[in-house]
Amino acid sequence: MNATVVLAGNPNSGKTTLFNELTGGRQHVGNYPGVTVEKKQGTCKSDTGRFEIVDLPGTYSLTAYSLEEVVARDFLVDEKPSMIINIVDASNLERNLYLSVQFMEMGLPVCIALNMMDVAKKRGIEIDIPKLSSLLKLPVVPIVARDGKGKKALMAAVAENVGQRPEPLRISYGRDLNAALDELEALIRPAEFLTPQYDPRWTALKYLENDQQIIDRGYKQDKTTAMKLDTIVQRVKIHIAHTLDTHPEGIIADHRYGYVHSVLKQGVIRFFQDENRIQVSDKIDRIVTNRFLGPVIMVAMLMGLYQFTFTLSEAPVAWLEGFFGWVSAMADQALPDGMVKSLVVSGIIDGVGGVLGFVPLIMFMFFGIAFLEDTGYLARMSFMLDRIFRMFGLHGSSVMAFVVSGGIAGGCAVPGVMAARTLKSPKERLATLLTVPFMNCGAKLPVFALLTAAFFAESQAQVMLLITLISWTGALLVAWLLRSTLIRGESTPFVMELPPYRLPTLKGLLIHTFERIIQYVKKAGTVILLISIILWAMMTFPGLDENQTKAFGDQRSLIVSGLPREAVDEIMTLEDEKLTDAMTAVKEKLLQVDADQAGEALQNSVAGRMGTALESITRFAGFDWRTNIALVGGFAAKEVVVSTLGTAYSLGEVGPEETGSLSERLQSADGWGPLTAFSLILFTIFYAPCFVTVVCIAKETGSWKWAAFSVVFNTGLALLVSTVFYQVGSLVPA
Amino acid sequence: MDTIIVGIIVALAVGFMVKRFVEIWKGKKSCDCSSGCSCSGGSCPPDPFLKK
Amino acid sequence: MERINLRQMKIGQKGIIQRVNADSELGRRIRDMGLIPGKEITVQGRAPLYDPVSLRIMGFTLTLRNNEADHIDVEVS
Repeated sequence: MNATVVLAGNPNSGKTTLFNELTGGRQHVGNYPGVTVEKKQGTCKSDTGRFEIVDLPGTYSLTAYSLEEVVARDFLVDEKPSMIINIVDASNLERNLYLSVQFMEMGLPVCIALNMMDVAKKRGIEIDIPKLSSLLKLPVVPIVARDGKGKKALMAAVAENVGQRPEPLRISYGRDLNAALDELEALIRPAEFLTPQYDPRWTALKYLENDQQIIDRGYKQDKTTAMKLDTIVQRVKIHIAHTLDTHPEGIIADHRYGYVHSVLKQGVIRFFQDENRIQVSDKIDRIVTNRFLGPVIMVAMLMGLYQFTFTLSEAPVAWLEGFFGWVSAMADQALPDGMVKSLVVSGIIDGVGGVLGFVPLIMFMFFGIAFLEDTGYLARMSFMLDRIFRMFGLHGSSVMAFVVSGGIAGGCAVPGVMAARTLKSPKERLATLLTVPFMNCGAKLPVFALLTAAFFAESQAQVMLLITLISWTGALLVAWLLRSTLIRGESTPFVMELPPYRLPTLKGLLIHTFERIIQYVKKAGTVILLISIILWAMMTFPGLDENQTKAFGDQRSLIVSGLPREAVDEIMTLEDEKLTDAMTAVKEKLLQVDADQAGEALQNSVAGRMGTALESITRFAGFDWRTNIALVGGFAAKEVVVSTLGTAYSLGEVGPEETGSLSERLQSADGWGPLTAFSLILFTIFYAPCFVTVVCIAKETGSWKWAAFSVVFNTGLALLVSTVFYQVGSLVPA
Repeated sequence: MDTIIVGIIVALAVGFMVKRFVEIWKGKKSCDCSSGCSCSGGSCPPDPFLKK
Repeated sequence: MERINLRQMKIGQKGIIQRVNADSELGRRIRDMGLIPGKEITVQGRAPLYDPVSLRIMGFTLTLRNNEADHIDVEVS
């Protein structure tokens, strides 16, 4: 048997876990047409058949409150799936059933997967499953998604009941509303208003609930009837307000919960403990969100994470850097001198290698973050920071957007920009998505890692913490600046569930981490590689002209004038140990000429000239033309800053004994020191977002104005901050 | 000879980059994780507020 | 038995919701999560800056800003 079924339920009910269990690796992620809500689909092959499972976004209800709910609802109405697998959290039965009941009101076939039976048992909750099933008139299968228990029984129940068309559930909404519903229905049926898609009584209910999507659709389809319905609704609203001092929506919610409660009351559920009793999670929260300890713990968490990452990754990173250095040296010897060699060694190996060298660091960082995410600690962070964020024109949810973008470390601004959608207030939304690029995204990590390894090796973790604090503070200040120029809007509600703490499974953590590493390496092997090649070309051509080459030639001739031909040959070909002091001196001078020539060729190249042109502005921030090129390249992808520096310093040097890691090269390079490094760090935090993010901002805000703003304003801010820092820093005696 | 090889490689690189930029512009590729994320750090989480 | 506003409740205090005076999106969100007349809630704690507040209701934990909690009247003993 083949069928398409849908997986739906509350957030935090274990839906993703169940989806993974049912579909294994056979998943596919896309988009719902026309909107950018993620659509997850997968195939489940069970004993009873082959099912295509669509994972609907987690929702608490089916109102038109959020895009996810509308998408879920539309999918159910338009596609009319043959079965809804409604995952219900057994330790949270009442609220979960509030959604189930809404599926039933739509007349859709439902099979309840009662999850987290183990948690319910621990909390002293006992559920009479057969009773529940018979009262709701649908199959209820107990499962523990985390362990994969109950999978078979669930799919068997699905196979058995698939394709049924149950009668829509009719809940009594009290005398006044029941009468109103009848009246509305009497108009809807004969007019065939919005049928056959929507059940008439359901449409009537939506009108009373003031459901904007249905009202709009109705108006478009049949204006006359729509207006008649609206008249009735207005009358009812006024009547309810006068007599009961409330609105139809309130009454409807009350009665829905009332219905759920009446079902549960019939011996379905028994509590052996007060259900609102303090749980372990709550005890932990007493400490974690405590007045004084809360903030301290937050900072300590970050510090701990960075320390963990830098300590454990130190050796592997050094090893990898050594490895790439070796590959580079091998290639240097194996290939004949010339442009191809230069492209391969300086462009590709030293460029991409610079980025790949940090894979171990990224890996540990991601692992730590995945741990924090999976435990549920991030929801606590939103909770604690909401008040402060609000003062700056942001929202507790902005914390999530920030973290996703790399607020702690490693992420991407693109999903962060999209995450801002949860914020209804345009002011909050705009402020969030424009400040999200300040975070330490995964692409900026190699830049920070490189600079801290080169110049702050003793205190990498502390500097990282400082970077994080600076980026958050900067984001808050910029948001605050923006709020004074934006329209005031009502703040988005902060009604949020705090899920119980969960101990992440090692398997889940490893999968998460592994996925991200793959993405990082993939990006290095594609985008970074391509850009490195292009930038190499820009740093090599047009090269030196005839006169310049001749001038260097003349210098060489000058050095070796007076020496016999054989001696010169010896100097060039013999190994260093075999040379006399005098010969070594000559060789060094010749190598210096080579280095100067390479350096001038580099400076003469397209990229070099651009970088030099920018120097008039950037030198106040401590950047030379090479850094400028790297920063311009960073607009394509921030990792390119590292790969470009790798190529730039590789092109400008000569001689195999100089192959050190990029950090080592920077340490001994002219004009580089802790001051310059930190200035560059500051610039990287703030300047223009990468191309992909800019496009994303344009799409999300619907105009190029804000995208352009993010490029210009951010870069200007970055320049200001780095310049001030560098200038002030230069005044302070070392 | 050298120049030709290098020229071809660079031309290919430019070609691919242009293709990618156009794709991003058209919105076909941003954080579409099924075809490889352009984000080097994040897997593409859905609405984190209504986290699955 | 006293009827007060949710904002005035103390940590650890229990109460039964009497009235929810919110409409449009906030009202919808609050009600969907189960904050309706007749439900019992327990105040769990408050964030470091006293805002938002976290409550226990129907066996789970919900957070709410103070200015959102203002819409809810509760009867406490």
